[in-house]
Amino acid sequence: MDQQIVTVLVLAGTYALFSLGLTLAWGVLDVLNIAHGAMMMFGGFSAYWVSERVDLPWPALIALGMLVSGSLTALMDATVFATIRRAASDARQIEILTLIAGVGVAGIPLTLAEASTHDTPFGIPSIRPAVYHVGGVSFSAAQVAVAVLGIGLTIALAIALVRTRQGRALRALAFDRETSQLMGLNPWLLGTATMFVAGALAGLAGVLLMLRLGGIAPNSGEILLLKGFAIVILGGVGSVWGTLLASIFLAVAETVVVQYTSGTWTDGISFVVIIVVLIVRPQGFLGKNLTERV
Amino acid sequence: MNSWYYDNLLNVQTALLYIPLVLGVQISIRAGIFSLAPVGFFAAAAYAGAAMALHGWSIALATIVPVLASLVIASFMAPIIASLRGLYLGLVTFAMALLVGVIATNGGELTGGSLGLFAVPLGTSTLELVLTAVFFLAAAWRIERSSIGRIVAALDYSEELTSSVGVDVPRMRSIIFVLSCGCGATSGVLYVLTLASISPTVASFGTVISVLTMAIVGGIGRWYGAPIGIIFVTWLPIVLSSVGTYRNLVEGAVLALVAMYAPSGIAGLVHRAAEVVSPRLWGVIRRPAPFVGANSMAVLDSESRKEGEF
Repeated sequence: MDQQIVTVLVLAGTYALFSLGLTLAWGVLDVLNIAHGAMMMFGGFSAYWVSERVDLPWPALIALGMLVSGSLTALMDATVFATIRRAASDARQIEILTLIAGVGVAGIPLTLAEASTHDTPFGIPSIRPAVYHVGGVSFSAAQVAVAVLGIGLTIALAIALVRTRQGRALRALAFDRETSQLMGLNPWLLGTATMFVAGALAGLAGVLLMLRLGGIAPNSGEILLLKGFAIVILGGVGSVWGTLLASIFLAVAETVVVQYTSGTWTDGISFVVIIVVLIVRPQGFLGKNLTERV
Repeated sequence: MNSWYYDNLLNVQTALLYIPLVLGVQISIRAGIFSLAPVGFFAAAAYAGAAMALHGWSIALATIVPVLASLVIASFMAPIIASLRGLYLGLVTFAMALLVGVIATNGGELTGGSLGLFAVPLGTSTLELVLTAVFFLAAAWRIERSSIGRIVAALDYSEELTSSVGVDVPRMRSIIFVLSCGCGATSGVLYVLTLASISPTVASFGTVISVLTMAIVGGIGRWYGAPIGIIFVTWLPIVLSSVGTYRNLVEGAVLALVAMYAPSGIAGLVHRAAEVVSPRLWGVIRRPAPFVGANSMAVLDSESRKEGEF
């Protein structure tokens, strides 16, 4: 039972870390970044790729993964998504085209990783996280990192959004882009910075996932992406506290389901969550009123 | 020609069987209903047909029953998702489509689990596939030029305006939704007829993406966008076989570029080129049928023509 709690915490942390970037992009910038999963994977992949050639300590590799994912995401937003925002005629077309373009862009890091690893899992075997045993429960350093960072960063971000100037700026941007420009904010700079942070968080999630599991596969991003959507929707788009609650909820639900069934149903939970929430209560746990959007 | 045909038989047949599905997805998105439910029904109908055939049902029944059942089920689904719009409808239907895959993987004996079903006693000829494809394409063409086609375009532009000219918008949306699911189901039974096997990959992330690519890259505004998109997705890997593993990268890049610079797809690009090359000839043969998000008030009147519309 105690071991289960560790499992749930670690899973919740992983999901929270991953979904944080997604909810930032979606809530603040109205960008449904389907390439988020691929960026996460690519963060892990670049850490692996570099570690194969250069001997770097693990903090540097984590920073590298974050930098790569962050820059790629910011670049993608500044080139692909910005072009669509400029060229499209209305909000709905922007949404659909952003979705499609995201799918396309996601294929690029995916293919690069597949080609380099011949579509097999990759990891950094030389970095083996220490394992601890406390009172009958065992956990590894990587698991601790994921749980602490995932849940901690989410809480920190939730508080920062309310308490800091930058946080208020982001919320203003999410609320009304034009007026925030009038107030002296630079939406493009803020937007690109937000996408960079979202991408960096994805990269962090990717490297930590790779270290925790021992390896990830090029298509690991796909699976997490759908769970990320479920979490963002369940928590309420744009609400960071909601993301935390939903991550914990999904982690608990999956752990319970694995307990009683064979585990092939776990992906189905996210799908059911998406369907039920959007039909019954589209704003999720803590989202703002979405009746016009939905 | 003969040897090319036999060498590429599977590709030709696969391209043909996808036509109803892509047409269904296209007409749905064209009406502003971003629904990926046809893909879910594609998978479900294929599994149903396969399971039926393996349990001794006749070919006729195994083909017709899944399609009819899909139409019925879709009409029950329609009111549930009636209030959803845009991206959220897309997400829900996406989740539904993948849920079919999860159920299929856990279906045990009936669905063959993660390996799927093989040696299904069904079969069809290329001629039958061609006839079906031609039927659907002709239907799409007719619909485009009829009042239904204009309603579809009008719905995409503005539901309030369409409602204000007397169209029963919720009913039209339901009808379009159900029809598109029926198209998906038809492709599903064609799939299992052609390949005599099925596996959960038909309801995977990759399949949904492929279908979306086919629908968008070809050109969503017209009936001939579907065949163009299908040929693009089916034949690109062969043309790019020298590129090998980087095929997905090229497909992805093309998709992104299309979304950025040519949202009306290849068909749209051809139109724009034709307009430039020969405006007079073009004016004679063109018919108005706006693409996704086109702003045109003349949508409900097929005789008039606005600049920028194709």
